[in-house]
Amino acid sequence: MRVLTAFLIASAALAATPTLHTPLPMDHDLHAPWLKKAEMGCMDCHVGGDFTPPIPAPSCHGCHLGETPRAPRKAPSSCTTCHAVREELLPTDHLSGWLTQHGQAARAAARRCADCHEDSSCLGCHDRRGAGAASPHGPGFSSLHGLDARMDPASCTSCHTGETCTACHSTGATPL
Amino acid sequence: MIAAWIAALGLAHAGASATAATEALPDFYGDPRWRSRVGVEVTQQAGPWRLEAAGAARDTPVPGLDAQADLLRLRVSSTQNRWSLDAGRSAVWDARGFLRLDGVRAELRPSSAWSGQVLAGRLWTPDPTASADTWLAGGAASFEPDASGLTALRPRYTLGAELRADGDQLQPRLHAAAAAWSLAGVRLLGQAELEPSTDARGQGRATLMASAPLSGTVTGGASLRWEDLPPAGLPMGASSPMDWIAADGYAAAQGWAERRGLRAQAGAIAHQDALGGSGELRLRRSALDVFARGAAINGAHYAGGGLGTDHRLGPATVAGTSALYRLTGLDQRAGWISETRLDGEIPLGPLRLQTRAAGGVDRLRAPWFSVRVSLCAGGA
Repeated sequence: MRVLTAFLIASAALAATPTLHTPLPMDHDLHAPWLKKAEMGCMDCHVGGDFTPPIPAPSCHGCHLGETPRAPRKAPSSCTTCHAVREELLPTDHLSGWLTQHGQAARAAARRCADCHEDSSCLGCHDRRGAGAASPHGPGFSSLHGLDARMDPASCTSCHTGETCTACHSTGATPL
Repeated sequence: MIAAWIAALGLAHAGASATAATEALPDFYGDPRWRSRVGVEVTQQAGPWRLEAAGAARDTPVPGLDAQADLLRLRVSSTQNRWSLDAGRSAVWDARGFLRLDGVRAELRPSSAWSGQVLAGRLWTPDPTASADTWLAGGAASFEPDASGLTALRPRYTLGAELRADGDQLQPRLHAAAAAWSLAGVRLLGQAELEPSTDARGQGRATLMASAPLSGTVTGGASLRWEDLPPAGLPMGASSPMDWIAADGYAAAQGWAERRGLRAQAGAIAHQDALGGSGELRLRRSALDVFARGAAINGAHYAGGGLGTDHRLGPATVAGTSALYRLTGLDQRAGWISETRLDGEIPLGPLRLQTRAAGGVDRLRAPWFSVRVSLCAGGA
């Protein structure tokens, strides 16, 4: 979580300030019982006595990302609770080629993915079979896959074994 | 399948995440078929403990697998200060890549710099035609020195070993990696994996990879790989396209750069029998996607490109992609191939109707056309 906080602060420093919902869904009456239970006072959020909205992000994230030991367990942790544009929170390397690039990037810093993603984020796509399964292959792939596979045969094994090839290519009509 | 649909919608109403999709694929060449998939996912968090369960039942056109029910995930996990535990199906990511494990994985963090991982279970692959059954047990230790600051590189060094078994066959694997990343967007990786063998020649794979922001608006990366060992996620007895294309291994290099939606990518492959190269240029501007691609290897080559677009029309979404390529195949036959896809999605209350119409000319110069109509619920 320290890494995530540092990353969010760095993102904010590098890019424009993320767009927040207006007005923010921050209701003092709603928060009061939780703040009282956590023995938190005004200055715990309004750091340095600054009452100009919005309060600094770490104040919110302390409870809503569970970084404060006193954080109530029921504080909503979804980013879009406060942030209006989810794309603004994307790390700078989540570019247009990310769909094909994320595998290699995750190999270099697998733990960093876990700052935002659960295990099920991987399996949600990578366990798919049958109807509803997403395919990363673009138009023309049925005719071009022979050459594309020859350009990097190991990459096919993310989803397929060789039995996918032989299912068609062992019939004789379509030799390998 | 109708009962499964009703069950999925009932569970969705009760608060579970349920998905359902049924596809009709009318085939204009005499083999119409339909396939269906109904899935349910439940996640429950209680303190540090988390339960995830997901399953799916499906009808597929794959011969010999007319219908199948999969328990996709049943996972209990707990994350504490010094340890975490996963039991069930988990996605295991490390410097070697990705594998799907049905089993147990535990991670220990005795200090902020040192961590260890042990795992045991059965490899799972989403390929429904795969028949191999591989069990593995192994572990890895990592050292991650403290680093702070926006530009500081955060290194991580890992050493690991595992034993794989398929029937009476046993295979050990060793792996080592040095990786680093920074908050400013730098990623570096050096990794090697080895399968010692009683044969004169053991098998291995290795990767060198770097990516980083090159300026305020340009990001780039490059990688160099040697592949002479099936990736970690592939079961032992399963064949792979590597067996036919580059049985003695191959070297692959790739480089890419991106600036404000304009992406250029080039790659090369070299092995005993061939030297090949590929390139792609892609521009994304709001709803427009323009691309050009080409590749050449073993005397075969293709070049071409296309464009795609997507729009929202009230509650409906429509998208189209079209591409045209000049292909000279491995048999030296040359011809034009094309494909156009039109996708649409219309919400119908809690359901969605998705359609895809696609058609074109294939490498045998035969025109083809297909339609798929899907009725979906949830995130399917």
